[in-house]
Amino acid sequence: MEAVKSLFEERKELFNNAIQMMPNKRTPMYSNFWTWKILDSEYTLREALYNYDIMEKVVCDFHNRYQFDAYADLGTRNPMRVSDAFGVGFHKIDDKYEAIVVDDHKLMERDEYKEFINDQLKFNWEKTFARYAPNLTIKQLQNAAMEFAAFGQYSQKITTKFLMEYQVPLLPSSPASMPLEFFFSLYRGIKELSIDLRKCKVDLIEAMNAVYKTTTEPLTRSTLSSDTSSAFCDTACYFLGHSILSEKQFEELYWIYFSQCLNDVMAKNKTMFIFCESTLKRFADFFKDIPKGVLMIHLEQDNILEMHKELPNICFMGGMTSDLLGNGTKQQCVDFTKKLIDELGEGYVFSTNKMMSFRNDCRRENLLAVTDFVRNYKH
Amino acid sequence: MDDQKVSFTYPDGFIQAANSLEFLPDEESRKQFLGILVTSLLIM
Repeated sequence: MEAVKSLFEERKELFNNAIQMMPNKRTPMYSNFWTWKILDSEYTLREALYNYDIMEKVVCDFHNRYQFDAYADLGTRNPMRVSDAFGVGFHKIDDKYEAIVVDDHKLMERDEYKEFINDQLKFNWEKTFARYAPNLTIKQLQNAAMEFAAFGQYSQKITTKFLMEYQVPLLPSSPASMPLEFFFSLYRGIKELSIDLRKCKVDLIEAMNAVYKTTTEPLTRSTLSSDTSSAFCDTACYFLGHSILSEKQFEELYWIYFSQCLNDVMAKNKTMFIFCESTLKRFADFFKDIPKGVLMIHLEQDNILEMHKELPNICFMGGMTSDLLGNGTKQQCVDFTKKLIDELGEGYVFSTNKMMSFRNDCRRENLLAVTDFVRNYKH
Repeated sequence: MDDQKVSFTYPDGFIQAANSLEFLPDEESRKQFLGILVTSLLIM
């Protein structure tokens, strides 16, 4: 007699079968809902983001309403209380438009790559942090440290609740960020890094080699050696900075590091989840020879049906558009969901094609209709 | 002391700032926490 599986085991099996492209009981569902879930609640962005009890209620109500199998965000994306405690921050709440806006910024100058390489912690303290919070007092630092600890407690509490009580597999911890991402998102910003690619590529490569050795490689290897059984994949990687690269630049500045991480993943017979912001299509050739059962890629702006034809060896996630969820009828949304599941088949995880953030990204009745359909549909 | 501005020199200013985090037990754990805080904040 077969033992009764727990809900957690069922969900893990759904993701595992999808990445291995094996027949599944149904298609797994992954929530790519961010601040939209606050707008779907009775609270404002400001109320939820500044009160962890309210945020917990928002996130739990969202799960109870839609019952996704895994989540990109559990209310930990915008820790406004921490950055506010420093008296700074690049994120601001726009109450009128119900949005969080972020400024492109730089915390490092073009001629500072060598300083960065010499001692990253020294550089972070003397340069980047000094620019981030130039007027910081000891008292503010102490308060910010307490806020950081409180944020950590919320994060731990909500993660444990989803794992133990709701039996939801978690996102893989400690994503293997590729070296370019540090300069794209943290130090140089989108505009400045785009210019660095032409003006000081050698310095950038030296700095990326340093980041790979000090951070990317050891973090990837330690994650792959750790217990990953609570997550739906063994490790994760977020592609953001690739969006400003040509194919040649991708090979030279991104793939060279990513392929080493991927080799580590395959050598240990593990799996990797990739969230791919923007598009991946122009780099599809790089992924053609990767064996089935290794990668699960969440696509954003690509046509997922075309990508599936081009890369049948990859398990894709995404597909449902915010345009349809926000403006279509329930029937249109369900019809498109059925098309996605029927055409993408076994190696597919249902999700949305963008980080759902704005009120018009989705209507509650449409999301209820599609999540109910996916839970009950067997292709 | 509370109104004193943080010194962004390394290592002296960093160690002084770390040691103001008195809820942690020793200098090593305070330095480690501050290092994580600084790095995490840049990501946030």
